[in-house]
Amino acid sequence: MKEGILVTCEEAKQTLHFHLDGDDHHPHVKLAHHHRVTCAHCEAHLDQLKEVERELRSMVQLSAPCSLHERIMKRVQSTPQKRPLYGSVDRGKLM
Amino acid sequence: MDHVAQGVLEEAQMGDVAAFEKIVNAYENRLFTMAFRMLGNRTEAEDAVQETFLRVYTNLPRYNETYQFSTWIYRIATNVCIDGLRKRRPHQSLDVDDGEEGNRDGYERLASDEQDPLDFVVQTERCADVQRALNDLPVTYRTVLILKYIQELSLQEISDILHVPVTTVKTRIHRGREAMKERFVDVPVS
Repeated sequence: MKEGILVTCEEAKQTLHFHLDGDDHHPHVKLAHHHRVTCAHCEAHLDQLKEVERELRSMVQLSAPCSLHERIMKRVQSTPQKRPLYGSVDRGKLM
Repeated sequence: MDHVAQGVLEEAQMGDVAAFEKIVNAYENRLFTMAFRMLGNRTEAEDAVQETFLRVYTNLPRYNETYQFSTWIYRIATNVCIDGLRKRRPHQSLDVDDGEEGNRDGYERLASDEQDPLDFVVQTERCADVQRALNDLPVTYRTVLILKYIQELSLQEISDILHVPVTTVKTRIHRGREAMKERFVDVPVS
């Protein structure tokens, strides 16, 4: 394990995710930042995680096919609704 | 963030099908995208979206404002997708212990086997690679990554949808990103 200024690679790695989440107030993030400046390995790791985020964000948003919309509306018209519940309801049980 | 007006919701709760169609219009693309990313193929995604809207419609009179409508509908959609994955391999547990790296065998791989690129909306090759990496991910991680990065929901919304604390959502996102990095970024691009 490479030694950083104050933290090890392993410790720095854990803070990369806090950094990505914008939780930069986390106590170790600053130390880890100093570590990264001098550690190509951790810097590359952070870049790869950013790449994962970029790729996920750039995935195509899909359109539901028209045939699906029609199928749903047809089924809905022949489906009865449940009766409302009164009083306090645990939403978790409704599905 | 809700995408339908309160009045529309109330009419649909009374069984007004035209009002319900407005809810379908507002959510069908979002839910189809989510189901496709969760399940990895069009047929199962369509079935999941249909099942979601049927459950939403039948349970609508019992919806109250404990949660935002959007949270409620996403929770139903998430449950339907996870049920769909469970049906592929009925005897395997879908839950990944948060303390473990997660299992990779079984239903996760099935999705990529079943994927039919010709039967699909135009997507880039890179996007198909990301989809394959997602299909290969434990469901727990796949779910949070899709809700965060593809549906662009907040950590609080994801926490409400999944009924787990925000800290758990964050941990799953951290592990999910690492798992994606291993399956995807580390593999050289051809």
